[in-house]
Amino acid sequence: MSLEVQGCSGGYGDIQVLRDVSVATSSGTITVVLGRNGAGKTSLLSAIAGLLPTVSSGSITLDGVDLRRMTPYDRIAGGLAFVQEGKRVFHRRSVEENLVIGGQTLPHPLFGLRRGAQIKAAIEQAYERFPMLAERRNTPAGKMSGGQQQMLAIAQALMPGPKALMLDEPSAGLAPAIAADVFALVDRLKGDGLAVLLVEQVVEQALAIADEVIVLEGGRVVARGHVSAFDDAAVVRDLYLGRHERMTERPPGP
Amino acid sequence: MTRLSRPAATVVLLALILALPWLGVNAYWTREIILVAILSLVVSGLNVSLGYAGELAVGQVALYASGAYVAGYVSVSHNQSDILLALVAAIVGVVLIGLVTGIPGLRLGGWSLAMVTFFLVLLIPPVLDLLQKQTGGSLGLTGIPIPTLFGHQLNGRSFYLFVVATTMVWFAIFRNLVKSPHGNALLVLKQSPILASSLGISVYRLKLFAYVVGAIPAGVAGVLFAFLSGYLSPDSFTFSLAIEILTASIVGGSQSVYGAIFGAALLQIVPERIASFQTWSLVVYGGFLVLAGLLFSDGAVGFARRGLVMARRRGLLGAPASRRVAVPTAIKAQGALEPLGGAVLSVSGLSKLFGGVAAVDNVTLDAQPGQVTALIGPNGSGKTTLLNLICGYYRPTSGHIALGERPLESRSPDRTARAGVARTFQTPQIPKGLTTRAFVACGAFSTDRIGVVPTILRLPSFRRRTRDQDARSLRLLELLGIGDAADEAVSSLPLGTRRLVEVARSLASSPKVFLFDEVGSGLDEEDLHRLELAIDLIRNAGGTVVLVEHNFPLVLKVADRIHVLSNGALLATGTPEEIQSNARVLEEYTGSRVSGAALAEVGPVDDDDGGSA
Amino acid sequence: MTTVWAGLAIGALFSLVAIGYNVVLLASGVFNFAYAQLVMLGTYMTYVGLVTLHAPLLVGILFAGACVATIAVLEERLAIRPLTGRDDLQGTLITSIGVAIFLDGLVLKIWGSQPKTVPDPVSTKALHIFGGTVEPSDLILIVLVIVIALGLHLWSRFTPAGLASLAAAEDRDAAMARGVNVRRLTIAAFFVAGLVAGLLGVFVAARTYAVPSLGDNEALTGFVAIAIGGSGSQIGGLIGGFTVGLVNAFAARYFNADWPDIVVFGVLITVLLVLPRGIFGGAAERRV
Repeated sequence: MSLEVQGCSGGYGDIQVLRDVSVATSSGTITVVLGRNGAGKTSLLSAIAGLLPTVSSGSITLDGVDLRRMTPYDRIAGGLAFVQEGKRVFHRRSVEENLVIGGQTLPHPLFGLRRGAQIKAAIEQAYERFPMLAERRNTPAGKMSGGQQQMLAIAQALMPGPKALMLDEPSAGLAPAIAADVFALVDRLKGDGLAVLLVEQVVEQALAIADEVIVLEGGRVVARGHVSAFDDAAVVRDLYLGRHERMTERPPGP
Repeated sequence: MTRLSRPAATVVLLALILALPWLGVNAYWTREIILVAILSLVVSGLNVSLGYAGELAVGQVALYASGAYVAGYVSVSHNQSDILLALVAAIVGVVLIGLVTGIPGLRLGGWSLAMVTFFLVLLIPPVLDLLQKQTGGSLGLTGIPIPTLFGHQLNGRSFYLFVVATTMVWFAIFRNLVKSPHGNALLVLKQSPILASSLGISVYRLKLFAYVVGAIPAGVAGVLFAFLSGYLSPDSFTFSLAIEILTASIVGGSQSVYGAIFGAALLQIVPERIASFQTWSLVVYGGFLVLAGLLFSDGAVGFARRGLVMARRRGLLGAPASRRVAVPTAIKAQGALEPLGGAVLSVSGLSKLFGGVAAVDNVTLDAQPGQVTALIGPNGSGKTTLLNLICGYYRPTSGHIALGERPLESRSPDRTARAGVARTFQTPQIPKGLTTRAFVACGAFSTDRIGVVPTILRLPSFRRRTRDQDARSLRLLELLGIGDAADEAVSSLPLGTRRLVEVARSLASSPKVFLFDEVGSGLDEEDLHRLELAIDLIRNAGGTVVLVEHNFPLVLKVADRIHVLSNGALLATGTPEEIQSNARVLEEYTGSRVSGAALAEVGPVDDDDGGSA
Repeated sequence: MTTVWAGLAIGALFSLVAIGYNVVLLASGVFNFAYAQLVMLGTYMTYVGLVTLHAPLLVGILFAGACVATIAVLEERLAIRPLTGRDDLQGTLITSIGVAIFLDGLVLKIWGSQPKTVPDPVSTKALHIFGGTVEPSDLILIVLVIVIALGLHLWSRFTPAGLASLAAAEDRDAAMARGVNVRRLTIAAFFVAGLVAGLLGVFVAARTYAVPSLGDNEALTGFVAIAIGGSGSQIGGLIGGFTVGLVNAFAARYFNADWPDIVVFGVLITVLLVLPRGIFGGAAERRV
């Protein structure tokens, strides 16, 4: 099962942000997307989720299914999950209500006050994985700390039991210890069989859990490979300073 | 069009319009043009509040009616036909009414404001009835004389000239006002009142200013209408008119200066054509509004732009030039700021309780000029609350805040900003419709005020000061290495550049203290490096810098003094070396999960000469 | 006390309009200015069903419900959906006003301006309750409006689809990224609003007859109701509507007939000055 993007180009109306980008990730793999601000990392995830206004070419497939013609809703229903940057949970709703909202694509009765067995089961599973959320099930999301909100956002995204999970800078704005928790969590999710696409700025910690790496610059892929070829943090800094040849010269690690 | 031919072409166009009656245009069309001119005045008033200040204050009809009835009353009851007198009386009346109806409006926003102001229209007939003696109530006010100007009667063609000339004068004033720092301040207000306060703008006063400015053309239009018809009745000031005005504003583009004229023309001429449909007229008018809304909801300009995009998509035009998203250029490590008179920021015994929970607990610290003082601590430690207390968004429960000699604790955010406190926001509030250089210049709006009169009249003092402010903006942007972004729309910039723009904007007001709120969060290595250089520049120029940060390596690199907060209280204070080796801080800040050795790995970033290579 | 019942009956009508506004506002952030016209259409469709087609009561009510629901969904498709991609929603203000005027004109053209009588659904005489007189159809209207508002409120707080609607009102983009089918929600909201307007048409008509000016009278006042109650809150719309109705009734009885508008305005301003976002806060405060 894999999430594959081939030759994707697009942007916002006239402004082209992605140029012929290809990236892939598969079950039990974490692919990390690195790059400067403005390089197109968030736009790439938006394009996959169906939230980028213009996608002019390329293919996006999840488990062999072409996503390009599908609305964002249908892509989520098809097994894609997207945790946007900025811990976007619904502040006025409680933790449990947020989880219910995350379970939208699971079968549930349209009227009537019951939630549906699958949503209930998914909520229980979320509480097992995130005991900290279980303790706060009735707290409005807006009253939680940044780290807790981020956990809630991830738990929300996991509600429908997706096949692929995309995360956009989940550690942004979090204290180092909490960020470490987030990375550990993402690592565990890989173990559960998810295909993970992770966009990050915190290079060292992202590489510590990565399997594959791609680097975006100006909307293009300027380097890609297995994480072992990216072991040296100094090499990555070179990439930021524009010395791209270094990367391609290095052979993959043992 | 070259620079020189543009004003010339405009003058020719205006002269043509003025000369129309003598060029053979018949009386029917001259009257139509007068009606369009009158409507465009009212619509432009709405543009000020809707397009610029972002307020859905749609009570223009009430102000229009007020202007008309004041002129009617003055001229009929006092037997005065002088049009200038009527204009003055109407403007005074409309300003007063605008202030009175504006004051409750200041507390509202969004749909509530729209509702209240729409409702004003419904009040016109009962109010007119109440004032029956002066206004004739529902029977109407008759006998408005032919207007005179300095003793000459304004009739037919001369009236046309007066109306068109007055309209042109108003639009010149309007244009001069909105294409200026005042207009930019309104755009900032539209985007975020919080941002506006942090720039030292009194939101209250600016909103009131917008209301009054928007009221004047409506009043003037009312006077012109009264003299045009010679007769006034409540039937002319209906809810349908209010809708026409709103539609005209949106269709013409609420932020466009001359869009009001386009919208007014559309809404004046089309409905009259529809009247010929008789019993079907409402149906057709309704359909017309739906179409107008569908096609023109982002104004005529938006319509054109969408047409272009669709044409491109169908391959009718060439591929678009891929517009470069502004990427910062190499950092100019040389260059320095002019000296900044930083003051000492001192906080003593400061506490803030939210319902019994102490978000800030008896904190005492200070920040010295020429130094970078950092405030760190985990989420929920009270850093942001402390910052908000200093800026005046919260009142302290106890304790004092002072900048130099001046106490700050009882000041509102805009007064705090004017006292010399400049602040950046973690999520930069970026107004739409401003270039970067204009946005940076906004930082100086309240410290370097340019009066309204010089702005409208484009006096030499206005030209000189705006040129100076603009040059300064550009210089600041270049100093921070983002000079290339100067002419880009500030809302299109990537995050790293936006943060630096915020720094430039805070510099524009030459503040006594800089408060940087998580300015490093989400930045990559290169942007961080640029940020460090910027902070160095400020420090070397003698500014007082307070850095509230999460990014520990950044703090260790630039701070002179670090205060660690935990659960609202001050946990430790010291130099970077002291803090780094303070075991308790490590535990507290990192949640006891990361050992000291591990923290040292995340420790100060060495110079970028790598090592291996 | 009769004045109280009168106020509640008028208020029920305002609350109905407020409910219609709120349902759509919550699901899509759009203010459907034409809802009062849909209520008016409800009375006319009931007239068509019961008088023109001589259908039995229940069939007539269902017929009206179906018709207005269809028209509402058409409105969404033609005048609202094309605009939801754009940044600001002010375009929908104009198009929904356009639809309102269009419907006014259509009704005027087809049935003329004379009020049409719709047969009373309940043919018993006026009731005497709590010391005041009230028509049974008015009483049913009041009860139904309360039940519907409460039902919608509970639905939005306790069902997944309802919570999704609240989420979409709070942050539409984030809701889409969570798999909330915003488009379907919007269509459903218009459908439900239209259905309610149609089904209740017979009770509304018993009070006001089927008359073209019904829409204009109720539109702004319904708006006042949600401004007082807080936009997006069904309970708020209920309270706001009944408040305005009561104020209206008492002002008409004890003051001049001209005054109700001014008094209502005064109440509105007072409430908003104290609570700028209405009593229950703006769950769907969208800045145009």
